[in-house]
Amino acid sequence: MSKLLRSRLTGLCICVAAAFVLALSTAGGASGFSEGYGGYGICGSNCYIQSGGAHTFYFNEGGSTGSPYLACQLFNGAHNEVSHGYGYCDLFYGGGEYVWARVYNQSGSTHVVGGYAET
Amino acid sequence: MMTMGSHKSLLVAGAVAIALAVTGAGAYAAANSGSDRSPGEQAATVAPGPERQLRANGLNASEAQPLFTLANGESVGLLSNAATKCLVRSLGSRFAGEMCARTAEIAEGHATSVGDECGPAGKNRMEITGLAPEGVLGVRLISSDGASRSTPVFNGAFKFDGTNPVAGGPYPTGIEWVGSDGGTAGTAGLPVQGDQFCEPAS
Repeated sequence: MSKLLRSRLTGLCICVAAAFVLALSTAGGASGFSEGYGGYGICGSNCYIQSGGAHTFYFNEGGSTGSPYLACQLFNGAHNEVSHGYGYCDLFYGGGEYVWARVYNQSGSTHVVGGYAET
Repeated sequence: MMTMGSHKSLLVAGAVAIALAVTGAGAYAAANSGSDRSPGEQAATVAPGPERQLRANGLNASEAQPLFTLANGESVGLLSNAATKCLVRSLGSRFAGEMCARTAEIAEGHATSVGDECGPAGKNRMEITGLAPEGVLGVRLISSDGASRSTPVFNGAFKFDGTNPVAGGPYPTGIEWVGSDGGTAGTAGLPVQGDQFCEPAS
């Protein structure tokens, strides 16, 4: 029974995270470039999901099921901006430089995490 | 049979979640803003992008009530409806961030966000903003070395401006709510651990 419950909860987590990421492909129509990334389970010891490349991202957000500690990051060799929140984080960077986007899970336990960044 | 039924209901739930996310059904989100979804789950009901939590809660950043200004120049405003309060940050006329929480999350101390920057070209700033539970008049930020800083609560919100903890130095570990008698009315953590204020940039 607990196995079934665990299976259902895991499935639901994946569905919600998939929803978080899947919507990405339809969004950002007014922006130059947008990217959804992650959408799968990552460990809670500061594991992260990351954009496929560096772009002139000005916005990055991350979400998860539950309320784990999440950290959104935009960075390159010179700039490193981070915001921390419970179950959701978002971050803006106005520098106009090429930066990578990441979302960290800092909760101590595995969670399905999705990220989205746009230029 | 039971397993098949479970899988079927799971698929339906997943399909609904995905459909809501893809269509960005704001009206649905507004009608359900009092649900027990987590912030991430609530955000997933609308299309991604800036103001996502606000949109998921049927709120508009342009209607925010100004509260205070942070050391990094960002203005912070307050928005609310019957179920949710949101802090909205803006820089000039540009939206610069949001943090929304329901009453229960505020009471749990899960309505605090921490922003920091620590690149070589930055100023090493750190801002902590949040929403305090009903009746709280002040907030103390507790440091790992036992020191503390206090700030008043203004319209249910508070802020601390500072700099990122230096490696090996003291760092913020949590907050204490200050009641009307000046005593501690409760405690809450921060959404970040001591060694994770400044994430690696490589």
